[in-house]
Amino acid sequence: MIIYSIAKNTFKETARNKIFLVILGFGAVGILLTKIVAFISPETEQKMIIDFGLATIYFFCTIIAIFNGASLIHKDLEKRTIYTVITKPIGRHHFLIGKFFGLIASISVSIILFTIIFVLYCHFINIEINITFYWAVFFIFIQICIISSVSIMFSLISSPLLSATFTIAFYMSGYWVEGLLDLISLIKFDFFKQLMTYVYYLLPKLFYLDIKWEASSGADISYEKLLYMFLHGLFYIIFFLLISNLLLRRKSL
Amino acid sequence: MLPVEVKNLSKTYRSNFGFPVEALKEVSFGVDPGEIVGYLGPNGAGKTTTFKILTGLVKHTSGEASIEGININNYKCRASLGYLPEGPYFYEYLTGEESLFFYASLFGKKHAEIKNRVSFLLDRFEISYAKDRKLQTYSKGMRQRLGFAQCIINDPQLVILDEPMSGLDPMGRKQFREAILELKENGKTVLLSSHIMNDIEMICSRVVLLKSGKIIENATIHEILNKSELTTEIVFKPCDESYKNIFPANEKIRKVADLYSCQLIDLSLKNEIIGKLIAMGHDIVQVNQNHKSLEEYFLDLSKDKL
Repeated sequence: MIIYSIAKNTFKETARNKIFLVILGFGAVGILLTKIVAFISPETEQKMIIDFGLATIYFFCTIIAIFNGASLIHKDLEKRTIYTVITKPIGRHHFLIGKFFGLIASISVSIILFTIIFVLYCHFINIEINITFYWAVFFIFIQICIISSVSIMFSLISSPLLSATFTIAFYMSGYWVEGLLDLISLIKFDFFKQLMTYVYYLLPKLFYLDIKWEASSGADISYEKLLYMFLHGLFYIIFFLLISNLLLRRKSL
Repeated sequence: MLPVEVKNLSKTYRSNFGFPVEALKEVSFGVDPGEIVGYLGPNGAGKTTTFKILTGLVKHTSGEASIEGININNYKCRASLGYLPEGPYFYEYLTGEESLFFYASLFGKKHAEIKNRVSFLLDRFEISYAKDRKLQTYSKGMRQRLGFAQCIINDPQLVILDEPMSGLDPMGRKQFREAILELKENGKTVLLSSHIMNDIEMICSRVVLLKSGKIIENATIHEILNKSELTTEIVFKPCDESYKNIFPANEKIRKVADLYSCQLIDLSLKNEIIGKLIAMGHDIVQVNQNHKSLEEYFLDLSKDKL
């Protein structure tokens, strides 16, 4: 009940934010413009449209996650609105989880809205959508949950601008981490080798959750792999939320 | 079981350079049920730090405290607590009514259960006419009243108010004083801080005085006023300038309209001065014996125990 109340309030905060509505508007327009991209390569029109549609959904939802997440708790601390919330019979973890779910709720609405627009648009222009497309959307959602938990974590230790910058860096490293194993094999010093191995395990492998290519080319993905991907994402979401909880618990407000 | 019990509570902050700053030094006090206690002290004395520790906003360094017998480390102790922070800040995108429903829901109450309570509080604090307006349109007085309403949304046994009357006009202060006294009538316990000593004198039964993180006084208002020095005020209408030579140099004479008054600190001079004034033909209008006000006592104590 308490987590639900905080989440609902956070959702209202995001939904009543004009910037959020503007991003939603741009996202919707972006999806409708995917047909233009298909002109580049008419032979692979279907693939191009699905690929760019998913990329547009991912891009705009990531923007919402990074910029809302980076200021979400910081705003409460800065404006002291947290004073009238934390002093009620709730734990700090309730506050954190409520905030997280509130942010996730607004992202879910965005993803669902974008997906509906895109599916209707595809139906309108006779583009066939397979089941892997929906899995790709689901894993975009999981990736954005990870990004949200990371941006909330950074928002507890730095300003919104810095948090957003750190989260963007984190997001990019989630794709570049694939090449880190090759780099580790080239390192000669054991200490640095060990250190980089820890970094490799610490960073979520966002590239691993990215199945846009499979969706656009109509490839099937096994349920075992989908389950493994889901657990991978879930692990990192919980991991970053636990760190955020530790940071919030230690904080003097 | 006391509503609030604080034992040897200390808080040390770290400055930006890592140096320890002691905000509270082994503070101990208790508040009896149904009391209104003023928690006073100059700026930086540690009042807000104590309140923040009691409400779970700040962790204490050592000592212990409990609310209604439950240790403050357990967040459930705040179920019977209402807290109004100094200059309360709210979610600007919510309306007044939505805010109260939100705060009530944090006590695990459902919308239907609290509908009457929210409506009662909106009426009680005279903001029901603006209940559908977003808080960004509220004036300072309205915000403060909403702050009070959210503070008692759960009908708490203990209410902690941090500077509840700062920035309010005389009418607003009066309304707040009445609301606080109403809490006492309903058997609630109130712990409040304020720099407005007149208000404290009017509503509190006891005060705890804090200076540089330490308690320097814990007594009832009656005890404080009784033990404070007596002064004699002589009000007279002079016939000429000769009165200037009657009063000792350290006694200040004030002029109000065509009357003059002097607050005598040295009471032994009272009869002699009055006699001289009469003998010289000055008209004695009034002679009052006064105790020092709480404000004067507070100022003296703040200076003395530096």
